[in-house]
Formats: sequence, structure tokens, C-alpha cells
Amino acid sequence: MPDPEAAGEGEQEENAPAAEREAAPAAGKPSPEAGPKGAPIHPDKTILIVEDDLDTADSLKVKLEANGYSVITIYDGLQALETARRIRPALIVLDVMVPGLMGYHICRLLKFDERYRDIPIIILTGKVDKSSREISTKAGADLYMTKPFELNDLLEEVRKFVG
Amino acid sequence: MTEDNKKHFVEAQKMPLLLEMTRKLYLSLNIEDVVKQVMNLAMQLVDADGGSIMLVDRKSKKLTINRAVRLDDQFAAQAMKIGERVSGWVADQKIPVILHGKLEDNPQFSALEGRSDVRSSMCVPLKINDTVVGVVNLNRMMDGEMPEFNQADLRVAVTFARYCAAALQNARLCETLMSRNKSLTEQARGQSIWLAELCHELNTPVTAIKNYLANILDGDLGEVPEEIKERLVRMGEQVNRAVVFIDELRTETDRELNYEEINLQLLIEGALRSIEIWTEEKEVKVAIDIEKNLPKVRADRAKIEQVLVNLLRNAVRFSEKGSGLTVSASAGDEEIQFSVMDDGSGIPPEAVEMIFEQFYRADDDAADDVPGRGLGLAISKKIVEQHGGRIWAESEVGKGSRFHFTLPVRSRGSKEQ
Repeated sequence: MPDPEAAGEGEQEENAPAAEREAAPAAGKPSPEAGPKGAPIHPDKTILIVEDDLDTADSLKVKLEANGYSVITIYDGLQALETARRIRPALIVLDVMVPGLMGYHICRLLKFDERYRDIPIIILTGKVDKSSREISTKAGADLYMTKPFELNDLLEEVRKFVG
Repeated sequence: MTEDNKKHFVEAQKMPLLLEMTRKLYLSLNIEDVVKQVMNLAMQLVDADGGSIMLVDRKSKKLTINRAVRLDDQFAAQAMKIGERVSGWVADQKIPVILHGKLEDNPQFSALEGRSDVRSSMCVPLKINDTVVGVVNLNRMMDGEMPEFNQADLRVAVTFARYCAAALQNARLCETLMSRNKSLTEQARGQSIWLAELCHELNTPVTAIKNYLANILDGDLGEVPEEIKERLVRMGEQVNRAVVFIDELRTETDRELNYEEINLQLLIEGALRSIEIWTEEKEVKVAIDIEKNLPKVRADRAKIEQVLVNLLRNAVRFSEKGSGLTVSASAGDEEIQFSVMDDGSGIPPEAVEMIFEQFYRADDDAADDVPGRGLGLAISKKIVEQHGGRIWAESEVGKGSRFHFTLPVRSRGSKEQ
């Protein structure tokens, strides 16, 4: 019996270079490749950040990299789903409003798929939607945080999930 | 009984009918309804078997037929200029006419050709003050049994027209008011939605600024000289002021309440936890005095906690370093009263009245380092009143302030459930 996951990965491998390009920080954005505190101490622990506001994404990347994590940032929902499936990150930080595919949907698609359901997902939402907690829970998110949040609070949560 | 007396008798008999009809007419606040009733009533009153009501269109200034009985479609569709034909003449001259036989027999209408199926007709202006808003045409047809209209009929019609015009005016005003009210409500809702979206949008830049500040201050991007760090810390405080303000605005737009049964002890403890940074900073000693066995209330937990936090934050804000503060909750028969008491500077009597108004801010330097823009108490008032409670303050300069609010034990929420 063919391994569906292996087949899927094979297909997606072809898209990889494009995805990586997208994931690179936009030109002119102050985003170092690694934090000044040195090389990742958890090179095997990659955090996927899905956030369409480039600066918010960058600030998360800086914070997490400074604390030893490898980080990939993606600004588009469809690419985020594809990348998550391909690289199986240690954790996903997911903004609700990303172009292409809403954060909730990405979360649902991963959490209701037994191959990916153990990847922890932190959803970031605006405060307006009262229902965001409910929807995040329904979509299977492990945690949701409302914007604006304290960056160090997020770091704490990441540590709890990833170590 | 003489012929004249007989006429008066008939007229007098019609008066109760006239009054009852008019009363009904006044109850109607929809123009179409009024016009329909006027037509029916007028015909009954003067035993007419046909007629029409024409109203002056406010835009074109022409008379247009709003309702007609036994009128050819080709006439019914026509709009008539003021001064044109019989109706136009009546609208222009503001005087009623009775017409029998051929139109040509009347000098002012000698050029007009009348309807051959009409035996006798009356045309009466509908006047409000001295302005004509329309005319009522009443006809007795050739094929009917009634003889020609007489002066008594005309008097009845004129009297009736006076009331009709007033009822019509009522309905017009009412429709104008209702449509204005509707558009204002829509406008307010639109603004509220717009404001909510704006607050939502503001979260994005604010998050990015806060996060970058944290990156720099935490040294994620390398060491930062102390004097720069100091300014960045203050920058962060300013951003936090903006965050509080955005949050207050957002709550302002969020009017729906989420009722749930709330545990008051936990609620108060939660509120106290969220002001801990301020109480610790000012070394304010907090005393809690919650009556035992308080009845449960149904309320929007987050919003009531917000009210408590607002009151507590204000109390700390105006407290001297190291002073005391008391939070209490006690139950009456119908409501639970919450109180926040401080030993602070107090509020002058003239200000106590105003503090719950939007954008009122105490003219006090001590308060300048505290986030918020004077929306807190206004929002608290709104929230408490939304729950069916009351909020008020008592204060004396130099003797501290006491803020109270109540929540009904049987809240509106429990009825809804």
C-alpha cells in the first residue's frame, strides 16, 4: 500500500523553491537571518510564522531567533498550508487574517488531519471578534492570543509547547 | 318640517359619523392609509358614488391622483398643473365648487369638456393653514339614484376636508420623522461598524510597534545604549496609552451583552489582579469586603469586570502613595451594590456631576501619567445602565471618593433565557 504522505511530499517538493522565496523577508526589512545571540540552539525546532503584516512577522522572527529557534515566515495562506505540510514545523503561529486562505481554515485543515494534528498551533486574532475564541477552539487551535500581545508572553507559550 | 330644517336635520345626523370617522383618520399615520380612508369616508358622508383624491406632489408641484373610484385609467394616470381643469382651478383659488350639468355652463370652466357619466360633482381643496396640499373630488354618477349635490353636502365636504388635511399632514410628518429616524439609526450603526473596523485595523500597526520595541529593548538585535533605551521605554508607555484608548473605543462599539451567571467573588478578584501593577507601584493597600452568600447575578462578565477595573484604576490613580482602598459588594432585595472607596484627593462637588460624561477628565496633574482619555467612566455608565443598574459617585475634597454601581439581581438577561 503506497504511503500517502510520502507521495504528497514528493509532489510538494517541486514547489519548494518558490515557497522559500516567498518566505524570505522583504527587501529593506530589518530582519537578520539569525539573532545576535548566535546560531539556533534548536536547529531542529522550526517555527512557522504565518502573518501578512510583514513587520509583525519580522518582529516575531527576531524574537524567536534571538531565543534560539529557526523561523520561517510566510505571508500567504495557501503557501502556509503547503509549507506546513511539507516541513512539519515544531509549532505554527497563525494570524487569522491572511490572504489566500484564512488562518482558521489552515488550522482546521491541519488539526483535522491525523498526519498533522500534533503540530501545536497558536492563533493570533484581533480583539474585535467576540467569537474568535470559539472559532479558534472549533478550528482546533491549541491557544489563541489577541493583538496586541506582549512578545515575551508569546515566547513563553512557544517554550511551553516546543521547549 | 320645512325643507331647510330637513336639510339641517340630515346634516346633524351626519355629524356623529363625521366625528367618528375623523377620529379613526387621526389614528392612521401612513399616508396611503389616510388617503384610502379619506376617499371611502368622504363618499359615505355625502352619498357620492365616485371620486378621487389628488395630492400636490412636493417635487413637481403638480396634482397627482392618489386614489380614484370610478375614474377612467387615462384620467387616473394624469398629473395636473395647478390652475389646470377643475381640480387645478380649485387648488389655485382655494375655494370649493359644486358643478351640475355641463361644465360649459360654468363661466370659469367654459372652455372645458366635462364627463358625460357624471351627474353632479364637488371639488374641495385640502388646505393646511393656507396652503393647498390637494383636492377631493366627489361625484354622483348618471347611473346612480342620488340627485345633484346641494350646499349642505358641500358644507359637510368642506368640514371633512379640513380634518382630512390635518390628518394627512400628521401622516406626512410622521413618515418624514420615521424615515429620518431610520436613516439616523442606520447611520449610527454604520459609524459603529466603521469604528469597530478602525479599532481592528489599528491593532496591526500597534502590534508591530510594540513588538519591535520589545525586540530592541530585550536586546534581540544587539545591545542598545542606556539613554536610547530610556526613551524607548517611554515610547512603549505611550504606545500602551494608545492601546488602552483603542480598547476603550472598541468596547464602545461593542453593544451586545453576553449574559452569563457570574461569581462575584471571582469577578472582584480578577479585577484586582488586573490593576495589581498600579496598586503595587503606589503601595495602595486594598481591602475586600464582600457580603457572604451573595445571590448570583446574570451579567456580561467581561464588561462588569471592565467597570470594576475602571473604578479601581481611577481610585488608585487619585490615591496617595501607601493609602488604602476598599472594594465592597452587598445585596439588597432587588439589586447588588458594588462600591469602590478611596482615601484620595476627592472630587469637587461641581465635578461629581460631570465625571460620567464622555471626555471629561479631572484637571489634575497627578492623573497625567495614567493611560486613558476620560472615556472610562462614561463607558462604565453605559455598561451598567445597559444591565439595568445605576452608577453614581459621592465625594468630598480631601476625604476621598466613593463610587457605587448596582446590578439587578434579576437582570434582563435572566428574562431572556
